[in-house]
Amino acid sequence: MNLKRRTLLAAAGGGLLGLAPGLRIAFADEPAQKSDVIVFLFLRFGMDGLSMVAPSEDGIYRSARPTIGVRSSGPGAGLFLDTHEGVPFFMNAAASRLHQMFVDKKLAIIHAAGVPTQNRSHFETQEMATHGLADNEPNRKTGWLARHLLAKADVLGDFEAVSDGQGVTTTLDGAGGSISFNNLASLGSVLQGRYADAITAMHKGNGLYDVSAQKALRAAVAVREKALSMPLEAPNPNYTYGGLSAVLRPLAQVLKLDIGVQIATADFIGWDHHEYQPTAFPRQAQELADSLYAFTDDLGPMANRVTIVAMTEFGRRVRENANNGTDHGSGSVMFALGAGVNGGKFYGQWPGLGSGTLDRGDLPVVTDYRRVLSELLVRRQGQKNLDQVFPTVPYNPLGIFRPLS
Amino acid sequence: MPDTLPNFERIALNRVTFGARDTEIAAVQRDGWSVWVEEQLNPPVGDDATLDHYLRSLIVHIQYDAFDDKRLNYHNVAVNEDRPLNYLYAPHEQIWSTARKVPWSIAPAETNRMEFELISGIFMRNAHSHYQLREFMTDFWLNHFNVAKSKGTLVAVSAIAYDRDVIRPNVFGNFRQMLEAVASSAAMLWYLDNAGSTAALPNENYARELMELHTMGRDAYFGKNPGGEDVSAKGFTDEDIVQASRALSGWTVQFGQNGALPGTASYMQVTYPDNGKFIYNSTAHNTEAGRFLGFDLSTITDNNSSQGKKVLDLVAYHPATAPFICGKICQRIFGDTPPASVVLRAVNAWNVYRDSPDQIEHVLRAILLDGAEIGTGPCVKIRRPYERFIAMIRTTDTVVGPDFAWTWYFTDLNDSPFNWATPDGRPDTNEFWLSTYAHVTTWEYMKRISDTGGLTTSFRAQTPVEVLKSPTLLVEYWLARMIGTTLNDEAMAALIDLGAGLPPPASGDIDLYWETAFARHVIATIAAAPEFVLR
Repeated sequence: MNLKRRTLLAAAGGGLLGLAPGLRIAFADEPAQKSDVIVFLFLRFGMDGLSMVAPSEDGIYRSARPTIGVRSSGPGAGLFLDTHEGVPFFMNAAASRLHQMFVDKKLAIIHAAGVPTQNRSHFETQEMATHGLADNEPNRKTGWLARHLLAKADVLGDFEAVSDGQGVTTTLDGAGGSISFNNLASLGSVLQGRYADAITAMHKGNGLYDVSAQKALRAAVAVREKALSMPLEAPNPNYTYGGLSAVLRPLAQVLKLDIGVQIATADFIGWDHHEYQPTAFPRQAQELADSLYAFTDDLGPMANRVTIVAMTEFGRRVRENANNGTDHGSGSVMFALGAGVNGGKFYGQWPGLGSGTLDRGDLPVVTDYRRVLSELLVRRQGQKNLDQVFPTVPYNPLGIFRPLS
Repeated sequence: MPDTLPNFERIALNRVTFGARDTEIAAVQRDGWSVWVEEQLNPPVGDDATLDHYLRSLIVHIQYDAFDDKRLNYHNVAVNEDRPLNYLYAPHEQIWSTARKVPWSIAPAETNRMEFELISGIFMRNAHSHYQLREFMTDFWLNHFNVAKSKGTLVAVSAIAYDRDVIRPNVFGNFRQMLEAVASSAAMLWYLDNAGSTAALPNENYARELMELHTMGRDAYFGKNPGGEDVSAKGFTDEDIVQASRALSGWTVQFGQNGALPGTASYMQVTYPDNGKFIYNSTAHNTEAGRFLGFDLSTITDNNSSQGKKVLDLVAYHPATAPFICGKICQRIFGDTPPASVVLRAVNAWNVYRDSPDQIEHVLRAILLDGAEIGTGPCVKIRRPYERFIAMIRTTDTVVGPDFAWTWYFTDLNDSPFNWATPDGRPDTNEFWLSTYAHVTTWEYMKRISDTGGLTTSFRAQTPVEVLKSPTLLVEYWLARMIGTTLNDEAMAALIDLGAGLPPPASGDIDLYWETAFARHVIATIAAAPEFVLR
């Protein structure tokens, strides 16, 4: 690991704040770290895996979803992906970019995956997913990504982890906060001159608030300096005007700075389709697919070092409700794409939709999400202490990811 | 180190207002804390006279073109007029029917105007209401019973009535009454889909959040409860959610659809008016509700809204509800780990006054008056970016006008009204505001906002003449106004340096220099001090 950089940053924390020379040296003298980057994309509020990747020719599917189901032929039909365990699957037509990535062998699909739980609360299952839990496991109140980072190194630098938006994402609970940048352009005048000096002088305490403010200023100043040293790029035209592009665009900006980010997390909300699903879901699916396409395109050569995993806290009930929507369910679909993914294939068992397999009307979770994540951490970031990350889950890779070369 | 720690009055006021002014601190020192609390707990209906006069005096121009397209059946009338903030006072039915004409005959500028008046109204009331405890609790309850305009136009335009008629009249009232006001409000019925629930397939969205977010809380949720034992004394299960969704089906909004009138048979269809008012529609009511939290709902057969009301009784009075909500109120006031003694008193008052019309008033008395915690440090609660902004406004006697140019800043920071998309509301923990982005962006935006339209500053006029010429005295003066104390030596030196180092006014306009450069640099910087941020 990049010990020298850490030492410098720690020294900066000891009193050389503001425009500390140490920070500039940290970037000027050190070659950028060349590790892989993991992007964890959390599709919050219950993404309907059966509308995203549909067994459209299954008779039970068709009768349970007469209004909202994805068809295998006709106008707006899903796009054929592959036949998995004898069942043909179709990608929602709005997510044609994802379909193309699958065809190009960049995207892997894990169906009937998710959090093994009887819980159907968004908020509880989201916490389980971000803390790496299943039913009846004690919540240690730390995020699985935080445990992953801490299991690799004792001390975290400032830049190992970034998150979108302004919130500290719960996958990083316990890592002492991540840096987060919605928009690098907004980091302007407060980081300079007398204003930065005053802010620095005010936050000298040892309390949680002062310490996090110090870290924020330090990180923002460093990122700004690095950003200013890079040539201006035209914005990538493939981004949409939607919510996920708004998150992934600045993330690509930060990753391209090459400041040693190992983990990035992003949230994409808006999947709680209790109603109007035939109009609302394709909008979301298209935003997901188009934004992911733009992101990987925008990363350019950097894309060869970025692996993305997307999941949701639970899928939705197999049977549609009265409002052309679906209520909370269980198993859903996970995606893995980008560097090191053995794409163009389905992974994990498909249980079918027969009454014998459904869990009170819900697609069951056959593949524990942690089985996928374990493989991701081991194969793409060389995690050797998996028991500290997911202590209850034996390592049993599905072959989704290639080992780091 | 600071010379003095904040006094009891300043700590107490800062914890339950949008920022303590010198004059309020002096009033509490003169009359006593309990006098202030009692006055605050007994506000007039509607705004205080000064604020009411101010809001009703405001005129904002609105202009848009006529648009007549026979194919789309548009019939807009061109508008170009100076207009008071009429929507703030318009009945819900009027606002609803106006909005329901969209997109046929009303310009988008008109629905934008509704939002403009609502959001500016909240800013102005938070900043200028004499009844700050009501503003503080309104802010709390709006987040607790969160609705978001992102759900659609009908939630957005119902938000005026939600704030004014549903939340505000109940902030010190009875929780059970408030719960029913929320449950039957157009905003919540639309936001959590109960308006579209049907007898055949009741929508579970509202029923779930009613229990998980509005009353008993997450800790009382037992999921599918596979063991099947009776947990109704401790909390609720997925089966309870199904039963509640049945009982509440038929609780809807009148939007011109067909349905039955309360108490009539479901086949006796009429067409409802399109007025956005609550109705119980027996056609959409599922009659199969059974055992809910240990009570058999099938015994209620009046074919009116009684099953739903019974559900509200059972969740409002469930033993898990008092600690959940009292804990949240105390967390809002004190921080992540409020004193256990205070929470205990609050829960006790909640239960003792369960059936009183002023139940929440008693709870607040128990929190604020039955012990000294409210005025005792340490001050560890982080003021949200929005709270920081309003506190800066209040402590510098700045006047907020009808403008929401700054809304964008708080939307970006996840801290503007009706903008949190999901029903849980913003997390009320310190950690939520500790990210790089929250820190840096708030610093930056405070600096920009103090130079934004819609604010009337008078820093120069307020500063005593003898103070004007000395950067040191200036910084000390405004620190005393905004925080009530000085900062550490290094921070003092840096602030004085910042004030002294400001370039001379380019235009030679000394007033402009004071109201812009000084404001942005020194006052916005003071507002970034941890002593200001932590209340």
